[in-house]
Amino acid sequence: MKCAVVPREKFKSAVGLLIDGYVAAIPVKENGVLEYKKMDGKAGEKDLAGLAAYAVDCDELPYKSPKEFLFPQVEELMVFDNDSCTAVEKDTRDKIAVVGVKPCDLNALKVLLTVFFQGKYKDDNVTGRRENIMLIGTGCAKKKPGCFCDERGINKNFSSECDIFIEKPVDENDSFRFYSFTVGGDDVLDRLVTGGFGSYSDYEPACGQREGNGCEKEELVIEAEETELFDTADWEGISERCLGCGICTYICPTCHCFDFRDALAGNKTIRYRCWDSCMYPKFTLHASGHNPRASKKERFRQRVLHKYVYVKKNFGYVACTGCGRCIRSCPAGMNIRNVVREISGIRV
Amino acid sequence: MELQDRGKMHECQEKQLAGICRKLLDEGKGDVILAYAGGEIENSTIPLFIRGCGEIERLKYDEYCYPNLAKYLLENKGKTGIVAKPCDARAIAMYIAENQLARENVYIIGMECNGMKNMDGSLAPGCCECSVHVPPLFDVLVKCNGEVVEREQYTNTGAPAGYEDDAVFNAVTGESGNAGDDNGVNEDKPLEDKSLERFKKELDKCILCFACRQACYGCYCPVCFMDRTMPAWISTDPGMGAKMVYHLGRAMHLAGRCVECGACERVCPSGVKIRYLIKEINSFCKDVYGYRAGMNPGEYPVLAAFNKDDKEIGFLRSE
Ligand code: SF4
Ligand code: SF4
Ligand code: SF4
Ligand code: SF4
Repeated sequence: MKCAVVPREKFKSAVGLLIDGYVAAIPVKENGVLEYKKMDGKAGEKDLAGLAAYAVDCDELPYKSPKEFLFPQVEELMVFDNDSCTAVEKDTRDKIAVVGVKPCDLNALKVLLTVFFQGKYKDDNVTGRRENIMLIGTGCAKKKPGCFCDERGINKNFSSECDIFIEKPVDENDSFRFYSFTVGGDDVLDRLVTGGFGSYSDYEPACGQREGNGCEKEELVIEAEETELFDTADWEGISERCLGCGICTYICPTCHCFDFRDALAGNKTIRYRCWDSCMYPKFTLHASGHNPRASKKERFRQRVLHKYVYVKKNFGYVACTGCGRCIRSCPAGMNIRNVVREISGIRV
Repeated sequence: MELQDRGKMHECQEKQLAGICRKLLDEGKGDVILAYAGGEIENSTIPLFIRGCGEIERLKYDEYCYPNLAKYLLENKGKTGIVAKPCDARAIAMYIAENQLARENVYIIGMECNGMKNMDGSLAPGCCECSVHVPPLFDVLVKCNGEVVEREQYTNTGAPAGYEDDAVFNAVTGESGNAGDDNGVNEDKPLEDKSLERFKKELDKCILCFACRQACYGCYCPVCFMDRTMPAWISTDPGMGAKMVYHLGRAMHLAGRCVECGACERVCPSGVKIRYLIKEINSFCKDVYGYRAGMNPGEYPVLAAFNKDDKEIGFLRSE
């Protein structure tokens, strides 16, 4: 880990240097929705450094998560016909700098990478992308309505699950601090310091002292075994309001289920992978017509237990970071935090 | 109407609701009552299923009661009471007209309504251009001033004075639609921008998650054509072709059936504003067939009615 102190007046140019040579993915607000937009420096007319600096400074969480940069919604895998089959040239070589990723999402990307890399199957597409992505993290000043990162043991002010983490000044005399946690991050910091945008310091991450919510304890966990909850919890009552719209899974930073599909293009077939959702009836529909998760009760149970029990059992992490996205956007007001509290016997 | 007055108006309505719900449960007229409770997030409400007096405590009725509750009626929960704003009531009327629901199984607590708000305080989509303020169908009506009227006693005097038309409504509330809703389509006004570009621009944002379908009262096919696999109608690759099939298909399936609740627009994670298309078809149905969805449960839905003299200009028009 290295730390460089960057004075306020040089902040914008320093951020500009970080994203230089990358396609920048920057949260921008359009029609009232904050979303990551990929922006190519070549376009010229946009002030990318300014936008990126603003994104680091802005204390809002983008509506959708940044998972699409590691795990895109659609990705073509191969093209085949009766005689031949070719793997599709991977887009994993695009160099993308994702700017202003908050600690919850940084932790979520860690979960994604673990799932796609440390399990029985290794997914080169996802991990290959990580090598070409620069993650620029930043903290949250305030908890947003619905957020419960603290209960999930995530420090909203600081995270090392990125290449560069930018800590904002606490008062007007303070400076920005850029921390690096990877070899790639170290290189950029070197360039930054040689370029005269800042100076190295032995400043420790303000982890202990600066947060409002301390270095958190992971409170919201399910201790019980799956078998204890599978049939005993009142899943029917719990899921009664759900409309099965699937939004919760599409915007969740850790949801990672996918489907393989074939599409005909001329006389060839393209096989691609696309996001799927456990909240859809078709997700588990068998060719016979039988559906083991026939109603929203089973589907909702899957979503909660997958996040809090199965991923934890298989990979060691709970696949929910408490970002609150699903709670804020559910049209029926379903609240995973309260559901977990209810089934694990924690008083609401 | 001043904002405080609105707050007070909902307070009056909320008080009455609790009493009505208690009475319904006592008299055994409802096994369950669909209503609203306060959400965890500020300025939001969530659907509430009232089965006992304990749940009545959680009941809430304020200017954030935007969810459309009608869709839960299709789950056959037995005799069901439902708190229904005009758009919910119109959806219920459509279910009855479309034979999805028996009138005697539902007890409708109609709410006179002057529009609901988004979390950010702007007027909710749907409400911006809504001109129906009294539910067209109810068993008991709770008026804005808290007055409760049984169906038998209600004489239709039309909308409360000053609310008959949107212009007046908007002038009174001082609000003119939610920010960002630049569709500006009013049922009575012709569509301004009919370009393919506009359509494509909206579709561009769509990620084909189908949340709009799930949230819509009118999309209740057991298996949507988009979910069929034998044959598959589209690929799940959210390319322009698939998106056009979906949105045009949905618009046609909702022809004249949309009750303008705005649920589809509210749920969309990508801010797609495609409802203008559906509204345009709605106003076409109103102009050509004099039909407005859910205003009269006895009326045959325009898409289901057959008339041999119909010139079918909707489908066959070549302009
Ligand atoms: S967002 Fe809410 S209604 Fe939609 S599937 Fe998820 S829990 Fe159900
Ligand atoms: S389940 Fe909800 S709160 Fe948890 S990570 Fe996913 S979107 Fe965020
Ligand atoms: S199309 Fe949209 S506005 Fe119309 S009834 Fe369906 S959800 Fe409501
Ligand atoms: S909710 Fe929005 S993104 Fe999802 S399918 Fe509908 S229009 Fe597309």
